[in-house]
Amino acid sequence: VSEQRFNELRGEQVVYAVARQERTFLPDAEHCPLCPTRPGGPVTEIPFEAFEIAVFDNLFPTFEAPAGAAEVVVYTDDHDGSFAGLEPQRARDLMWVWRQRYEELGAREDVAYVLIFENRGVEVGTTLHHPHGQIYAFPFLPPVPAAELAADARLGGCAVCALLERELEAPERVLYASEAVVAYVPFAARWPYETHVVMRAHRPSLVECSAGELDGLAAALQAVTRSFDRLFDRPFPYVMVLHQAPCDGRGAGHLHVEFYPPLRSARKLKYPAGCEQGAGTFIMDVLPEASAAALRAVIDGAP
Amino acid sequence: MPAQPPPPTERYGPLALVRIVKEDGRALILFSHAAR
Repeated sequence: VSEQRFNELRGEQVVYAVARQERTFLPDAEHCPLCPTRPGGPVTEIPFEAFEIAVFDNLFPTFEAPAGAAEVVVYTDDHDGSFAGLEPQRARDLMWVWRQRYEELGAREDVAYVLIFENRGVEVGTTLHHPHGQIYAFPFLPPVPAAELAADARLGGCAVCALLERELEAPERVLYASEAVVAYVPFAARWPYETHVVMRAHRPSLVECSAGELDGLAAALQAVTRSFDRLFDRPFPYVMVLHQAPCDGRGAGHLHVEFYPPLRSARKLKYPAGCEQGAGTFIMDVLPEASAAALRAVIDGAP
Repeated sequence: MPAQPPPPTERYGPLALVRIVKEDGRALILFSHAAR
């Protein structure tokens, strides 16, 4: 059972989930807990010989009922590969899985916010290589979505709508544009290749999206992640996070997906160090316009 | 546990799904593309 403590100096909750210290760490493919269970082999988290998409309660939960939930979303029964390499139909199906989990978890009384994310690569702390993501159903509203609500208040309306409009007015940071979705490196990116994938229409969450918009989102996310892998001709680590409306009745929110990739070159990492951690101010070595130009050169669907 | 999962019992959009309780009590949901 995890414990929450309020950090007064930061004004935020810290969650202690000490059982996670024992979680499975970079097993070889033979012992992957996210693979299907092979005849004669060890029983994995999915005790069947084949599956398409599986969701299960995390064995080492950060949150659990009656105060939230922690789930694992396995994209495929193929151990090798990535989100970028999924068949397009599987990526489209994954949007519906995310939608179903957001809707079901968000309806619970003990859930204030549903965070859907993927950590890809050891550089961002991945402990299992099998293609998968996670869902944390928070029993409180965490600081980042709270900051987005504050941005809405500051700008006098939906901040994401306003920022998207600005990016489209001077599209030097736009990487990708389709009927439903736009991807860009934001004006004030905090990571060298930070990328936001934004629904053109104001959709608080996946639940308000049409089937066509979900298809468009899947295509955009795959285009962006494929461009990442092409950029330095190597698997590109990233943190991918869906930003959606809080589930605690506060409303607002505009569905968009933010990528925080830690690489600043093929072999160099951007570390959040003294200034970032001590002052809360990010220092960047590259302008967002230059990052956008580099990504635009390798992405499918560039405008 | 059988080698094949039980058949789907619910629909959600284009997906079929089945809910399973694992031996240790944790929930497992298997989603499949309903058209297949």
